[in-house]
Amino acid sequence: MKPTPIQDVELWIDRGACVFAPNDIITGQYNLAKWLDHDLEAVELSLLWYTSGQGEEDFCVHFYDRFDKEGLPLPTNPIGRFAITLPASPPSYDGQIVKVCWTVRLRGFFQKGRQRVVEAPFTLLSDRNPNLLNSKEVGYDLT
Amino acid sequence: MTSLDSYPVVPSRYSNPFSTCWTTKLEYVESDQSVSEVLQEWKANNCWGTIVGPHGTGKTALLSALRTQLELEGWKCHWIEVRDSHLEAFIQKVSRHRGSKVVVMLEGFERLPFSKQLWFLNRLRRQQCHVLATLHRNFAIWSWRFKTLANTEVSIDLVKTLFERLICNADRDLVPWADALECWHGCDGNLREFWFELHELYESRRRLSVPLPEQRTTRVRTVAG
Repeated sequence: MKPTPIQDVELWIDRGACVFAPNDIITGQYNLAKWLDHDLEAVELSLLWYTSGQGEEDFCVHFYDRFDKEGLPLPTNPIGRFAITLPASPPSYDGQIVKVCWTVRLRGFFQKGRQRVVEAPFTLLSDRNPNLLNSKEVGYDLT
Repeated sequence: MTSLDSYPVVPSRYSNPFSTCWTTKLEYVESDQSVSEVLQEWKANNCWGTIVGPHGTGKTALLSALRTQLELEGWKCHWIEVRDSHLEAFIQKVSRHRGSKVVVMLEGFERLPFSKQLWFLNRLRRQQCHVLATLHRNFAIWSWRFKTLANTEVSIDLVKTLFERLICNADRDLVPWADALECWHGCDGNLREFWFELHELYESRRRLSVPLPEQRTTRVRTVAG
């Protein structure tokens, strides 16, 4: 029998922000209600960068936390919060061949090895171009 | 921090369906030979054999599909990416992987010089390892000993199937099948090269069609694990 599809949970960065300066604090929330209906065994929250594009890829986890069954929010209050201080680098980069992508990632582990992942991508600016933060003339390449 | 409106694009792998992270996750599509037929032949050949094919024709994808099947059957698979510079460490590593239901999977074995391939295979044989390896061509006079289990090749039908799998959740207007087909004809049968070409094409067209800030609303992306 085909397993019941697991719906995605909500993960968001506060106030819809998606551009941050180096060393900013990123805050946000997640609502696990739709996962708690299934046999959720653990949840991992991470903040990481990865490269994407053509060829081999790289990644680095800046922040990681895991909640096993006992540490999961209760169905009556399924909201979790995070507040993480960002590092200074590497800045986001939207190149044509390779990109450097930052994201907050929530991974749910269910029975029988099933997993679901939800991400909230954001941009980390370069500290060499702090004025970009309020500029209306930002190009694709940040370096 | 600032809002999305003052910044054009949040870099993300979800913006291009031909990124390597997606193309390498494509499931193997069976063609002439099924995965179970290849495995049957491998077992009949004392658990020794090669997958032969040119660059970017799906050798690694088939090896990966074989691994999944073998693991379901209770085999322990040791996947090793062969690098000439790491050969000594590699040999020591392999010698630890022996046993009745243990298989050494040599991905990129074709990267070794031919003489080293032969020397190395003899060594594995002496160590009684079970082996599956990828090669660019078969061993000619040695083929009786190291049998070719499958020759990988890419048909247009397969290209289209894989293309559809990648583009189905993306903006297919950016790279219609007709444009993809034209790219394919310039890639000399190399699927990996083809994905790179499409990645570049999709990316360049996407950049020309970036929506206005008020149209961009998707901030939470979701993938199946």
